[in-house]
This record gives sequence, structure tokens and C-alpha cells, in this order.
Amino acid sequence: MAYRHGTSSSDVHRVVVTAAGIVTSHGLGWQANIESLRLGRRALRPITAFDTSRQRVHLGGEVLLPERLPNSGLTDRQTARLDRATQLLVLAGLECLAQARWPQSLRQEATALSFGTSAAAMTLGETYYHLKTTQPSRQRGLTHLTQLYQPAGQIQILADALAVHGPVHIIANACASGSNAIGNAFHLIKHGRARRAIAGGYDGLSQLVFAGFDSLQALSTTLPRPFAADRDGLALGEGAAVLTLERLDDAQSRGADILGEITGYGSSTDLHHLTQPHPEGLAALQSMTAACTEAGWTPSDIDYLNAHGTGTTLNDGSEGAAICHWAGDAVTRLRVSSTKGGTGHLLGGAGAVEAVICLMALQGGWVPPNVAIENPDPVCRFDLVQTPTDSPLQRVLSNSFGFGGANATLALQHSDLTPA
Amino acid sequence: MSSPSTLRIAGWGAVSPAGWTATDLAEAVLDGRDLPPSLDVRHPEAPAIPCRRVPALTAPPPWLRHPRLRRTSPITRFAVSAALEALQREPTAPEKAAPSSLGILFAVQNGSVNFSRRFFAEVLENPALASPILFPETVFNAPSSHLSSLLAAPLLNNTLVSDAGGFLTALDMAAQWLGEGRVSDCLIISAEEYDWLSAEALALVPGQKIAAEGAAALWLQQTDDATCGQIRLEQITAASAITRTRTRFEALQHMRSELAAPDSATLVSAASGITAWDRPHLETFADWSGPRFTLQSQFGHPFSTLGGWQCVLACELLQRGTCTDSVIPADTGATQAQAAWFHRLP
Repeated sequence: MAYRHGTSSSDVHRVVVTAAGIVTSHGLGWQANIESLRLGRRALRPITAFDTSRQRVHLGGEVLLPERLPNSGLTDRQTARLDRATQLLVLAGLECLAQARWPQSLRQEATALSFGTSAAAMTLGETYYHLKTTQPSRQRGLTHLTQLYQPAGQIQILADALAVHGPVHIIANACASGSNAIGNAFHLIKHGRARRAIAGGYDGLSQLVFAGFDSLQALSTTLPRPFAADRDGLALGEGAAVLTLERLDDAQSRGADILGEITGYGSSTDLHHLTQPHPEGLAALQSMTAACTEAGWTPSDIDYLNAHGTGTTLNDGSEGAAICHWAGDAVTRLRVSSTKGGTGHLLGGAGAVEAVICLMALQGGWVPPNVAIENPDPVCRFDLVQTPTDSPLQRVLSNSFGFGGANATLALQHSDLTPA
Repeated sequence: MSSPSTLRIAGWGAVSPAGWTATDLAEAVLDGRDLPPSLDVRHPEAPAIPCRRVPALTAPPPWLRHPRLRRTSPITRFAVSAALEALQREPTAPEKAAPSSLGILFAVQNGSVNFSRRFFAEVLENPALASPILFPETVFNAPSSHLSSLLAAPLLNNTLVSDAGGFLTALDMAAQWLGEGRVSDCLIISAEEYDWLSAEALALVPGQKIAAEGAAALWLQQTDDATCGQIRLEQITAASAITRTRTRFEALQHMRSELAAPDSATLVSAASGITAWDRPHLETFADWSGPRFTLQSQFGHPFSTLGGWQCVLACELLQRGTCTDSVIPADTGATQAQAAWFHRLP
């Protein structure tokens, strides 16, 4: 990536996803997630990562981490110091790069690294705070905490683990971060500013963020039920997804598997409130419209929409209104679901994980069901998919909306629609 | 690479220990003004931390009446002040006459650490009573969200988390957005606020860096005009990664090899005044013939805002006719090295 006055090119490139790794509370890796997501299972469990005994809520989408990370480019010392979020990131990254089958020569070239996170390694910040307040004079043993706490430190770890290097973009647009990071990588390649990219999003559960969402009364005290009329909030989760993005011609020339093509990316800012969306979802409408305009699609072209669908009263009402407005006459045929009832809300990891879920659905020809609800919100004039459904999919959208009014939409299509 | 004919730097602003304007920053540098640090002792057993704070305002600015700014911590206030100065907006009506297609890029390292620390202390005390007022402001993109609201700018808004090089990363992304035609104007901002938590972390770095706070902003605009005195973004080098197998010096060398600016350009460097830390930078630019300016030894280390202050100082020097070309290397971080080159049209 570089800018130089006086040079310009109108060349654009088609951008495909050639590999993806995923870690959620459903499991570690692509196959474990497919098996659970396809059936619409819930993967929420009592949180053990920190003490919730003084909170109202005790469930979350906690990942069952392996006792040891797989072998990677990291030293034992580096591995031993990793926090939850960075472990999730590295696990997803290792799966992705193994699937990508990049030759050594490719790894040696600069690769754009575009990642989204919201809380990042917050648990290390919590530890640092604890040590600083209980042992104010302490200086030893803190440096690695402050270095790895920085998101740039986490991406450095990932780069070391995968033996890659390149320009780093870390986007922290709250819960839209993962989608924004993939969208950013997509545009870097599309417009010739990067040849290839590794992109994704990640976040781990942390006490500060958990208590924060509880303080806003955004956490469900029962179970999250996206788009239900009686929904009472979200469950927090954790996870990561990492994708390799390449130019179509590059992927084809090396005989890579193509999981899908990214055709559009829209981003907008909701000015209504720091934590509440505009009731009519005006910014959501704007991001969906922008993604489809870039893709050259109309609402009737869309086979499935993976909604942000947190399960909070405000989000689902606003997003539902925006989807109905945007889809117009096509709304009753539009299949929509939220996968957050099963995974919990992965914050900065959500957009990337849900983009990978969309790729799984495109590849496998199935619609990820919403958790079953008895009484859908009247806003759901679309086809809210609640049962496992096999169906060939060609074009899908993925919505991610976050605090600060950060809205993003990705448009993805089946590799069958990509020219051979 | 897709890029427009000209990217003009249409305005800039800064908040620093020297004051609340870019002029304050530039004159403090040009006058060699002494900005003595204060000493923060938060606990009798804790290390005493030297720091350079932004001077308190004598009266609240009119924009603080905006409802979104009522609960904000200093980081947002610094960012708003620098942004309005860059956009040359009337502080009483910031939303008026804003560019119709404005993108916002906010570079940050620590974020709203005041509120994060306070909120976590409340969580440990009693999570049931932790304040819902504080928590939303702890999110990295809260300041840039407030700016979008204040400026009535509903388009692109990215917050980039990085280190002292983050401002140039944001500038690079702004050039990308403008080149793709996604917006006509971009506001690039960085802001950081002082807190003992981050300042004591900085003190762990060998060399006794002094923590500082403040903000910087540039207004970057796509234009087809080339008018006398206009400051143009001439180049941003590709970010050169620092890795386990590629030292900071090697990354700097690579950056330098890509830099097309004349050696006679004014170098607004990121040097800290700490010899060991600065050595790779000094060796990289050992043969540089142009004048050199530094900020860090005089102002302290403002985390991600350092690159922004460098850019603002470069613009001030160009506007004052001190030079026609200025180069800003952002090389203090552990992540990547990158440089920008600004040129003033004769």
C-alpha cells in the first residue's frame, strides 16, 4: 500500500476468499462449527473465564480452549504468555493458513494484515491494573503485559505464528470491527493497493466488558432470542475468524480452492446515539444499500441475510425495520436469521465469524437457522429461518452494527458465480 | 494504485502541552520554549511519573454544549478541538458547512483510559453498581463517534488502533478512501489523554520517556485545483513491517528506500532524544541534508498522537514558508515504519 501523487490506475480486481479459520463456542475449526451451526444449536455455557457470581448473568458463548496450542511459529515463551483473545486469533489463523496452502514464496511476500477487535487482550489490561493497584511499587514482570495488551502486539504474534509479514490495519469500530476489517482488505485488493490479505476479527470474554454490557442492561437474564417479540437481551460470546483474500486471477493461477467471492462492502455511521441505533435503522439501510450498489445487486437477488440480530430490544427492532425498508417488495421472500442466539455476541469478532458462517452456508447449500422462538417480533415481515434448511445459496449479505453507530455490510457470492 | 489528481491538506489543528491550537504547538517548537513536566504521584509507593499535560481551558468552549459531549473524558474534547480547528469550523455551529462527503479516521493507542480505569475499579468494587455512564465512553471508537455526530457526518468512520505510527496509517487509509471516490474529504485525527495507568506503562520502556497528551487533526481533500501555496500530499510510503526477523532499522531502511522526497526536505522526525532508542532512526537519516525538527524531547510522548503532531508541525512550517517540502517518518512504534511527504506549491 502506498500513495504517490500523480499516479493513478482505474484497474479493479475481483476478490475471492481462499481459506478461512473459525473458533467459536460451537467448537474449534470449520467442521465443528458447521455441524452445530447447521442445526441451530445453542453453544452457551456457564462462564469460567472470570467470576460472575456477583453479576445477574452467568452464561456466555465461552470457547473451550485446547490445553495446548498447535505447533506454530511461536516460541514456547510467546505461547505461554498468550491471553484468551490472542489464543483464539492464533487458532483461527493456523486453521486458515493450513487451508490456504500458500507456498513458502507467497508467505515471504508482504501480505496486508487487516483485523478488527473491540476489547482485544482486555484480560491482560485487567491483570496489569490489578497488579498496579495491589502492588503500586511493582515494576518487574509487567512489560510483556503492556506489550501484548496492545492490539498491534496481538497481530505481531499472529504474524509470527503464521510466518507472514506486511502492513497492519487494526480497526476498532466496536461490534462492526470484523466486517470493517474484511471490507478494508477487500478494497485494498480490489483497487490494487495490496496483492493479497489476511483479514478477520477476534475478541475474548473479559470481566470489564461483561460487566459493561450488564451495566447497560443489555445482557439477557434468560436466553438470547434474536427477533423474538419477548427478547430480553444478548449473551456475550468470544471467538475469532481469519480469512485469506486474494485476487481471483492469482487464486485461479495457483489452483486454490475458492470459498466465495466478496462483491460489496458498505459502511456508515449512525448519528443517533452512542449506544442506541436510530429506531428506523437509517444507517443500517445505508450500509446495506452501499454494499449492494457495489455488488450490483438488488434486494430480490439476495438468497439469505445474516443479521446482526443481537437479541436486544433496540437492535432487532431497528435492524428489522431497516431490512423491511431496504428489501421493499422482496421482503417476504428474503430469508433472514441471526446466529448470535447460538454463539453469543462476539463483539469485534462477530463480523468476521459471521462472514465465515455465510461462506459455509454458500459452500454447503444451507441456511443457518435462528434459534427457535415462539413469538417473532411483528417487525419480521421477512422469512425468519428457524429450522435447519437445505437450500442452494448464490448471494448473501452479512450485517454488523456496533456502538458508536459503526455499521457495516458485506456482500458475498458463491464461487459458482465467479468466472472460471 | 488508484488515486485522484491531487490530495490537498486543507486544514490542520492540534492540542498539546503548548496550548489548544496548531500555532501554539509550532511556536513552542520554533521558539524552543521550555515545557517543564509535572510530577504525578498517585500513591506513596508508586513511581513518581513525569508528564506533560494540556493546559486547562479558562472557559468551556461553546461546542461542549453539544449533548453528546456532556459525559466525555479529555480524549474526546482534545479530538473535537483539533478537528474543528482543522476544518476551520465555527465552534458555535460545528455541523454547519461541513463537507458534504466527509470520512473520519481516528488513530488511537490508549483510548479513554480515564474512564476505563474508573469503570473497572467500580466493577471490582461491585459490578451491580458499575456505571452505565462510564462504560460506553471506554469503547475505542467513542471519540470518533462523537465527532461524526457533532459534524453531522454519517458516512465512513474508522477507528484504527496502533502506536505512534498510527496517524500515518490513518492518513494512508484516507488517501485510499479518497482515491476510491468513497468520500470527497477526510478528517484524520488522533487524540490521547493522560492517565497514570498508561503513563506508568510507558515508564517501563527503557529511556525515561515522558508521557504527554493532546490531539492532532488534518483535513485532507480531493481537488483538481493547483493553487499557489497549497499544501499537497505528495507521498505515503508503503508501511514496512517490523518483525521477529526484520529489525526496526531494516524496516526504516526499506521505508527510506521508497521515499522519493529530496534529501533537502525538512525532516520532522519522531526522534525521542534518547540515544539508544533513536539510533536506528539517526542512522537511517544520517546523510539527510535538510533541516531537522523534533517534538518528543520537548513535548513528551503522546502515544498515537506523535505522528499527528509531526504532520501538523510540517504543515505549519510549509505554510510559514520555512520550507517547500517536508518529510514525516513515523518510526517510533514496534509495528511498522512509514513516512509521508508534504509539498507546498510555489
